[in-house]
Amino acid sequence: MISLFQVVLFSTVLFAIGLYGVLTSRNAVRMLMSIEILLNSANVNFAAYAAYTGLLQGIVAAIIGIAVAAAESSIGIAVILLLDKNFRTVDLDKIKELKG
Amino acid sequence: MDLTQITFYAIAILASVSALGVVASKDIVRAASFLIVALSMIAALFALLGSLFLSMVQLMIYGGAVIVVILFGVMLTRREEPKSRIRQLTRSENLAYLGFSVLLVLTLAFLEYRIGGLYLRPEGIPADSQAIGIVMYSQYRGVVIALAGLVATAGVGSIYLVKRKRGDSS
Repeated sequence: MISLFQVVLFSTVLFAIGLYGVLTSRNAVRMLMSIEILLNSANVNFAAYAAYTGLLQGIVAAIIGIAVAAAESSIGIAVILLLDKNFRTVDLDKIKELKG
Repeated sequence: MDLTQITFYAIAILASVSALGVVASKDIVRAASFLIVALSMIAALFALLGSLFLSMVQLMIYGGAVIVVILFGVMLTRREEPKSRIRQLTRSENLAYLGFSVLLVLTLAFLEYRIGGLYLRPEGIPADSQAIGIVMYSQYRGVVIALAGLVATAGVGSIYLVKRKRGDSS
């Protein structure tokens, strides 16, 4: 039998790895991947609490989270392509202004 | 330790190692491959928790659509790789990050110590797609409509952003 603590601990580990990726990535695409890991850790939490309480609201919240992540991903890639077009690089250390 | 726990540990270890691979691998395409493994393992975890529907949604949207979008992003921007793949954090930043992570785990351990023994239901999540649909379109109708607007706006907005010419502020 799986305990709630085990699943939430796994989710915390995923969150910590994703956060480290967001903080340290120089490539914008890799940063986007790290954000996906962060969002997935939240979805794991939702599913864990749904499995613990037996309520469907957790599953609905996870589905909403997945849809938001898909929208975020499409906007993120568009911004990265725009950065690449304007600055000729996706290295976040070299991009010093937000003007498009 | 029963079979469910062994499967859970296998999934957790594979997903964590793959997530580490996303952050630490040198090649960005390899990082995307690691991301596919991590997302698939999370889909497997959803199935293990009893929600096959959520697992299927995860595989279709994350394992399919998001990965394809990210791979397109990799292909279209692969002109120059940064020399160092990760930014070196300062000592205080590293300490702050480590402290934050340890604090999270310690909080969880404390909660487990105080109110431990919370086990997931053996029968898993009592969810078929029909029940989920009824909850979504009755209790969360407004959220679903707002979400549809968000996804449509994101799609149109991303096309507008990419097709915009440089210096075109209108």
